[in-house]
Amino acid sequence: MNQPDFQTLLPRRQFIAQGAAATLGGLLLSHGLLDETQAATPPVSGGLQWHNWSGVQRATPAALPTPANEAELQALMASAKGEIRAFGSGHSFTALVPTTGSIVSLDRLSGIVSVDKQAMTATIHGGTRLGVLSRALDAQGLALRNLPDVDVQTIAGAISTGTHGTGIDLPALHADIVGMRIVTPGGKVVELHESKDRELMAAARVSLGSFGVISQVTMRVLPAYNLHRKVWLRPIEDLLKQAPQLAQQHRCFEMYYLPFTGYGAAISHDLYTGTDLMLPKPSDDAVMADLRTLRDWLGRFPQLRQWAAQKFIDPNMTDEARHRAYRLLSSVRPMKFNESEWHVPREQGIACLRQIIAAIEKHNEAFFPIEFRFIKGDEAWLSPFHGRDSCSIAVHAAADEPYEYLIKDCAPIYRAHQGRPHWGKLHEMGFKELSAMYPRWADFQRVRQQFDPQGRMLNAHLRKLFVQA
Amino acid sequence: MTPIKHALLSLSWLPMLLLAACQDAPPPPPGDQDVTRAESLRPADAQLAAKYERACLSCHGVRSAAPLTGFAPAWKPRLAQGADVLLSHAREGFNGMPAKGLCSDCTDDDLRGLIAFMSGPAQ
Repeated sequence: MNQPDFQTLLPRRQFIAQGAAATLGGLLLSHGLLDETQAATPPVSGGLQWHNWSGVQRATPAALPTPANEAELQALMASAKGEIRAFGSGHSFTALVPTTGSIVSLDRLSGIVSVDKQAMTATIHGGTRLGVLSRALDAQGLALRNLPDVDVQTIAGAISTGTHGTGIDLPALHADIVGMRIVTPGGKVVELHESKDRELMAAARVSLGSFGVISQVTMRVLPAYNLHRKVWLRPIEDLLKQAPQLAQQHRCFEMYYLPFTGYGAAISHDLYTGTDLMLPKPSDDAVMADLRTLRDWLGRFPQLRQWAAQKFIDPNMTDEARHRAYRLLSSVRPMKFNESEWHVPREQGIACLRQIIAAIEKHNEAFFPIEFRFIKGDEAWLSPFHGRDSCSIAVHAAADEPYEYLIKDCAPIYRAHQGRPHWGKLHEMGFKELSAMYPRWADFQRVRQQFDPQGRMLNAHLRKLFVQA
Repeated sequence: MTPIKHALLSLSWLPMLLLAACQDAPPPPPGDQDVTRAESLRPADAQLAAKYERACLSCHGVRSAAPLTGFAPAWKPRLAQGADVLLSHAREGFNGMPAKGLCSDCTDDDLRGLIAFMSGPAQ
């Protein structure tokens, strides 16, 4: 998603904050566009504190250790009292991490352990961020097959939540894992490899951190490659019709609907072998702020808002970049938000998206683009893409604004289309609903209990998901 | 300028009119050379460099909304807020930046050192 540039927008924002805050803020509140009672959860006070990136999840753990290596992690796991949860970058919006026990940071378990250029695999410390990993691999002439649109997540966190990019023939990151080392709650290291532990690997690829802490992974890599990015705007009706074909034509295709504009932005990435490389432009970072400004000024009048947007949108404008894949596929998010994302069978993607657009546009406060991507199916037992090629549909709200409608209004639509929620993004599903979505659910729970018989890797959120009431 | 920005920037004429009289011009965005240079910069201290590389570089060493390492125009207005404010932002998180800037084991001294490195003059 294209994001606003705070540098270029700072003056305008300062003005709004300093000069017109009382008037504009009061106006929005009085019109019901913002509900000050639904602001982000206030910080907790006293003791150790943890919160996720958006601030929607918070905790006061008894311990917040940052082990320097696997041996320290083992000792920690063996000696820790009570619940243990690990976190990478805190980019999950669901309550995967909060506990009053120990929250383990993977920050220092970072870097490439080794590379096997014959097998085309790399062994990586679990706390390595995807951006760090991409640069380190590139230095050795290698790259990941695909990347999500944010690259600050750690590899352990990313695979454990089914994190994915886009591409009709490209599966989520966890599908490229061929081996892993997991430190169990008892401090034991379990080493798995797909060549000898096929079932256990199918369980462990996406485990929500419930088996222990992933200290290392070995994953398939490709020779480093360049991509050619194209961005263009079209009326959303055109894109809804063209999207399935565009997904077939491009290595990576995704699109975003800009609420209350009638327009969508299409983004494609294809392999590029030319030498005339071109870094992405200084960015279209102002888009988010402009969409927000449009909402702030005309949110009460949705038809006028759409008219104004269409008046100024030039559908002939395009954008391009040609460079290393990791420089194009991921970006940094400057505006914090909360998000809900579900994955539906590919053949139901467009129909579901149409209904999600209609649901979101019942809320005049909405301004974040609705994200639509394609993901190839895989066989991991708790992969949201288990056994089926999928489309993902993501809805967002600014972190300082209400987000509950994203869950309440959209979940029934997703579920009607056989959707499965992203494990790291806001949803309210529990054991009953989830167990019906995954054919290998019971097998997963059996393996999980082998790794963690006492359930020490489960916090309240995971007990709601994994333990039958 | 990308199509979306081009299209929607036009809508900002109203607040921009009001701004014209009371705001300084925004700093110029970094050029490709600035970005390429930032990617190669590291703190001289090895331990600080390791922390920078696994945490800060993801956002400050690439073209993003975060102020680019070694790009003075982006840091000038931030530095004007004072070292304590910058430390507080780094420690607590600010705008898109997570608390401690993705460096769980960074001390306040580490954060001060990293801010000084990123905001410093041409290294």
